[in-house]
Amino acid sequence: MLLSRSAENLFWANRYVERAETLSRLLDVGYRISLLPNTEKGHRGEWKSILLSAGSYEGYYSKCSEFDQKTISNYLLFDYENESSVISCMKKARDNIRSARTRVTSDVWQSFNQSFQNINRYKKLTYKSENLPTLCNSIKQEINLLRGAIENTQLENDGFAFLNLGYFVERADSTARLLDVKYFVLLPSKEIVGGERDNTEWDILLRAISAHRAFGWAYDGKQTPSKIAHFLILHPEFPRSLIYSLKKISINLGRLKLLYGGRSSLADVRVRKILSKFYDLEVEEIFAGGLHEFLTGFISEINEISSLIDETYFKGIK
Amino acid sequence: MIFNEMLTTNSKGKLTTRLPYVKVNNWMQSMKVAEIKKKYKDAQNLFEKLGITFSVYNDLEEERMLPFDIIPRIITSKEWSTIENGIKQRSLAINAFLNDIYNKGEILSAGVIPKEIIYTNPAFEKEMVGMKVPGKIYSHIIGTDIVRIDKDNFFALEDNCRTPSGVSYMLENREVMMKLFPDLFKSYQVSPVENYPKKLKETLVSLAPLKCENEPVIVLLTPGVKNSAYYEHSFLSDLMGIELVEGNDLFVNGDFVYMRTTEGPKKVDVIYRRIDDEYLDPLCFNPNSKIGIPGIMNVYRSGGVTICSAPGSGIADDKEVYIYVPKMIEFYLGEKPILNNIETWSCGDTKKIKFILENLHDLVIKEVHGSGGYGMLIGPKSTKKEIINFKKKIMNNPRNYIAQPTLKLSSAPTVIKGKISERHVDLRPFCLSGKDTYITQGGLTRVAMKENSLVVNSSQGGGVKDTWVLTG
Repeated sequence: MLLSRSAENLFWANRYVERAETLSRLLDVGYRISLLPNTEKGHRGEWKSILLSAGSYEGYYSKCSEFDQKTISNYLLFDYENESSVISCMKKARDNIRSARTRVTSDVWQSFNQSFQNINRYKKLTYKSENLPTLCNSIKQEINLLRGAIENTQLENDGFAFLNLGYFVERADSTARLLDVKYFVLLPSKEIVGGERDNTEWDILLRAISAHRAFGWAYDGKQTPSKIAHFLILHPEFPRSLIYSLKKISINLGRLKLLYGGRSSLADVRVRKILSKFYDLEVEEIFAGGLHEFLTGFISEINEISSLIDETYFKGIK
Repeated sequence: MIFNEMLTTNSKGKLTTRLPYVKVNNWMQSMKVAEIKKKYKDAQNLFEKLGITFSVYNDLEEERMLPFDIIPRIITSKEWSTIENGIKQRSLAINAFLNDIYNKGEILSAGVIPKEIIYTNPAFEKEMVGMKVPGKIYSHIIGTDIVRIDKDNFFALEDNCRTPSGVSYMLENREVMMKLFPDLFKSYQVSPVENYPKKLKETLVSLAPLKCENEPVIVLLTPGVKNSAYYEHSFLSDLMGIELVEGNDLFVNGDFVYMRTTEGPKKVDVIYRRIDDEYLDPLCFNPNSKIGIPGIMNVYRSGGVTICSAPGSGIADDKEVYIYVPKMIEFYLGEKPILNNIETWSCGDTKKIKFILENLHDLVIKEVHGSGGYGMLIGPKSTKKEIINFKKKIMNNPRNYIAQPTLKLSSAPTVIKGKISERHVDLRPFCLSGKDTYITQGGLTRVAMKENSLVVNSSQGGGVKDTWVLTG
């Protein structure tokens, strides 16, 4: 048994951590693109799609007039006014863990606390363009340490299940969003699909999901839209594919079901239903029905699951 | 003359080390400045790692550490037994007093305490009148501040009866000392303190309400992460294995209080609350409270839940009521007080006011309802102008102030910038009252870190020391 608020704190702490990690990976990709030879629209298009993926596009335009790497990376990394910046996410993650302090080990609390303090220290460094990849890497490392502390020291009880649900609900959502943003930016002009430029873009997409090397191992190496889509949506071993996140969500809801006396929650039923559809799904079917439509549908399913978790466990009513 | 805890002058006029401090003194003499500095740093690092902080309200929501001194405060078993018996006696008398004034008011009818001091006091809680509380105990955790004036005399400076804090430092200071100085620690026979959380839990269990039929469910109610003592709240609930709840986690349904859990509502029987009376129940007290539980007072009244400490306990640590604690001991227990009070005069006392106003430069003046070392005047340390201004404040509202002679708090060796200096200290042991009365053999020694300062409060830069109560 957990206090509903503590369960909610644990769930959201890890959603924010996952969000911060996604963002730092996106920024790393943005930097890499800025080093490539200019495309016809310049790098504007890429930074725009990164802002879009981060859900920060409108927020950025209402605040900033410049459109350069420095301003954008500052906004996405260190701006407290931006609710989804890395620093805002890490602060919210830490505050959530602090509220549920008695439900985590001191190792976990210390790592959340230190990650936030360290990232706060990076904020004070003077900006240098070439430092961006190191910075993004440090943030990823902080987050890896924090995940390690959870894996290594937490009891595998209901609290652990809520921590994990936080990761995978957020991850399912963010992978789908990223894919959808890329889809929009890349696919409207049919004539260049399959052309050279397209390959670069897909390559970038793979990097943004930390899938570049893994893809090479899992397939024969040649990138095609359908292989990439298969990898990111349906590959059961890749930790950032949609099906992988669904499986993890289902496992952790199953854990709760066992701990709480065997009743299936609505969220559990729902995830298992989607998952069984996923097992039979072919990538051609997805393309035939429209990738965008598929992703939009998936995102709203994930939202629905998140609200079912909320209603079942966070409200404290039977 | 200030009593030095470590050094004394013998009959031949020579400075010698008091017996309990000999080993500490040798140990300190054996260390070089650099070594002391290093140990000092080690201690700070340990505290940071353990995450022991108190919150400071600023933009960054910083959390700071309390300055920790590595030299222990030593108290012999003989000295301790006076302190322990004295505090127990005060706790018994205070609880008897609270039970009395919220019921028959015999001490008032007998004319021992003037009625108006109680009935016109804002800390007197009318909602509690006529209520029966479990075990007739109102204040379950009392932190009495003890000051030492000379070799033989310990005085009780105030009895914190609401929600005294600092016990987490008592426990963590000991952890740090045992880690850093095992040899010195072993060379003394030091009474352990780590049973405090267990004893606190036993106390809370013994206070289960009338309607509780099974093993009582206990929670600690905190105002939340922004509270300066949040660390202590989470630390204690962790050690007791009880839920740390906020007001919104609890709700009233029918005759009981429940907490919201992942498996639905769960009944709560005993609440160790660390929020003030005023915020407990917006239906009963401050209607704007967002951290309280609407309706909880009704459940409390009908025996559905126990609130520790009981609302209204605060009247017992009112500074004007403090004057009467020795009389309470005589009235309820028929005993002579073991610990003396500091001589205290109410500025509302027409027979004393002339004397007080003429001697402000020698006295300490405190606000009756103030705490944390704020709103006070320390005569000998104030300028003429400050004294004149304070005089006006007293004359405007005499009953709002009490006067005491300036205390000569004892001083103990303290590391300042790698060197050993003398700093004033007090002592706060924690007394638990449930079915039994119990005091952990130790307490929190608070140190005024500024030279000659008499203010030991952490909110004003005070630090802490581990307190070693010797067993034999």
